[in-house]
Amino acid sequence: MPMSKKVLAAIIVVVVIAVVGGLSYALITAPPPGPTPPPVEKKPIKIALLYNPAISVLKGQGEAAKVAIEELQKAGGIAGYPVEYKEWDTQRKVDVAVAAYREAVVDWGAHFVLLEGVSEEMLALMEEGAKLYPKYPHILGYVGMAAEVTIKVMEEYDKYKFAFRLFDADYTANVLRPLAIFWEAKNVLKVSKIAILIEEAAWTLGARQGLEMTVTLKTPEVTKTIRISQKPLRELAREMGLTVVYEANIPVGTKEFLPFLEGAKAAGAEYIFVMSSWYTDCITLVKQWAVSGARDIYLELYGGPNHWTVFWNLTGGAALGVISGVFDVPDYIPISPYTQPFIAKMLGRGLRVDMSAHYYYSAVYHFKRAVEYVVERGGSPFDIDAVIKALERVPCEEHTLLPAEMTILGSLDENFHSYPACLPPHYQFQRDGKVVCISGIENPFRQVPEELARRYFHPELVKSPAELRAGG
Amino acid sequence: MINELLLSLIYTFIFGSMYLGIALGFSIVTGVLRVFNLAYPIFFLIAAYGTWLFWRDLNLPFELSIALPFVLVAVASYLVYKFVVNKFMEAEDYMLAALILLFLAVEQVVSIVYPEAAGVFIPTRVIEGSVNVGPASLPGQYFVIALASLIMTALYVMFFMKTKTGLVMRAISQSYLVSRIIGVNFNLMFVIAMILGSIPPAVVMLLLAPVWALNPFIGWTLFAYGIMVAVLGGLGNLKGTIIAAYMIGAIYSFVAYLVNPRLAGLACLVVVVIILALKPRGLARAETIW
Repeated sequence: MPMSKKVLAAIIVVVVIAVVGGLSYALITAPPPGPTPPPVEKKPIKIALLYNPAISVLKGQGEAAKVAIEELQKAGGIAGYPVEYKEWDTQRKVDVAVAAYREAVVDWGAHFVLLEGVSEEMLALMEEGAKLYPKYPHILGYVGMAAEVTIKVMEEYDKYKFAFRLFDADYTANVLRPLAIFWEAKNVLKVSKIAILIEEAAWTLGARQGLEMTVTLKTPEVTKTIRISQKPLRELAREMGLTVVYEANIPVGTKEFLPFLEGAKAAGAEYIFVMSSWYTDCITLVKQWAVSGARDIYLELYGGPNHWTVFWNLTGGAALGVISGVFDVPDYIPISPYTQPFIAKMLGRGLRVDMSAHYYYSAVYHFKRAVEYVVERGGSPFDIDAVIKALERVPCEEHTLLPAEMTILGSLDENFHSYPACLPPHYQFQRDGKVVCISGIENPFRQVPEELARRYFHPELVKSPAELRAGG
Repeated sequence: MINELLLSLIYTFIFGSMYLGIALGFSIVTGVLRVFNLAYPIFFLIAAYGTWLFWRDLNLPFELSIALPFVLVAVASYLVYKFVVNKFMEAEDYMLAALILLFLAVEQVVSIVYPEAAGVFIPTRVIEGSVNVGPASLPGQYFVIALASLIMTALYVMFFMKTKTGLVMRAISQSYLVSRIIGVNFNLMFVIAMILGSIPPAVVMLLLAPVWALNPFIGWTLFAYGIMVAVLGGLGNLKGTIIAAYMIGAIYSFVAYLVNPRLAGLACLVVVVIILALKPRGLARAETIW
């Protein structure tokens, strides 16, 4: 029996509805055709490195930061966010550095800028950064001296809060380090009459003249008056029971050190302490000391011979007997679990290690730790205000030269946005350029745990320059 | 006090002689060619880094490695003359620009090939340790530098006084025009003067190496001493150069040992400025080389 037209129409409508509905359902629920799209990628955290690669010491510092970043990249980034870095050559010139900084922050979108440079560069970058920060929030880190950097942050926190001096505050370093050094002059070298030569640079002003100032730290949470005090070196030495028989300032660029050395000798000095950095031509100083009438007097350099073995070669062995801090020995005192592995990594790459290389490497890890702290609490790594607060609060366990408890950047004292002074042990150049750690185990100013001090410090091995030259 | 006086006198001799050695070649070139050779510092660099190149990079014997840079220095002198001095003789401003650019280029090349980290060191120490003079113990190597500078100066003075070539050069320095009229071979004389002028900086550099740091930028530092002495002495006059060298040596030493070493450099500059204000052409007028 044939179906009626009405029944047929009803069946067709039902079938069409079923087919269209089924297809629609299938289309909604079925996976889309073609390859699977990648998961949404997280925005990268960008680190800008501003340094001067033309000078080997400075290149080493930039390379140290790159080593840290590459490690983070291999480990999957920071808190799950990929890390990118880009380098700029500042030529150690203020105008070039400012241009590079603007490009890094504005054009490239850097979240963390790490500057290697002179304090004039940092101060200029801080001014530029203060203008950029509201639109381009970022953090500016600097490993170097100049008290002005952190004093600015203390006094105008809202304007300069993005700036950190990831190094010693000079007014503490220039008191504590000399005290540690003078203690060893007295108790290890057994001298009493000393000569002090001071590099005439901005960072030694306090060492030459002393420093007394009051700074008001003003953050949104606290207002506090901080007194900064630094006695001149001659007074620190006297307090240690040493007699300063000769003192002179060395102009930067000096090539003739003989008058200073002869002056020290004529005054009866048994020990010459040179408050030097690499601004002083320490190679010439050491070469001239080794042939001068003062060659039998202990010579201690505060800084200058950054790369120990290179320094030995450059002096042609004239550094025999010289005492200074040193960092690029493979068995350097493991102040943190990261000290020796870092040195090994650098040496393995053919790079030398100085104090700043440690700090640049560690700065990246401190930034990483702050970002993790923010993310762990549900924040965003791009909330730079939160990262700044975290940097002020969290220690850097991975620091290679400082115990973690010394890496708080928000201490409400003269170290605000800086680290407290690092007091490296002392080494003496001995035969064939071998360096021997001659620090005193009982030195109350050292930060090395006694167990490590007993293992690594060998004050009994110290020798006079004359003994060493005689083949001792 | 007597010790300090003695030291001042001895270092007057040492520093004065050293400054003389540094400025000697520059004065010769200025005296004969009447050219302010701003490429002069390259001779310091070629001597130091050339020695290192032959000794450590090419593994030649050390003595030969010290000798060969003198050939390089001579060749460089010739090239500087041929392609810069001679080319721009009539356009002094271009010549000065070219000479300084040449120096900067050489400096950059050296700094790229031998950055400080290369650890360049040249063991040209002739006397190890110190020499005792009365109560003072003095660096032996400085005596060697002083002696070498004096010997070179004496030889050059004899050359200008006693040899035909030296007399011709003095004639050129006195009157370029007359020399031209009598048919002097200028090209040859100028090349010889350039080469002669390049030897003292090379010698001084090699002897200074054990007591000064070697770095690619040392040329300018040494040249600054050379210019100060040469300008004070009267450009191109050897007598003036000798007097100026010892005058600066004396001021430096007496201020350093009797007053304050910090003020020694400044004292030298102040005296130079005062003398030049009174005698703008220096201590000896630069009309002849001797």
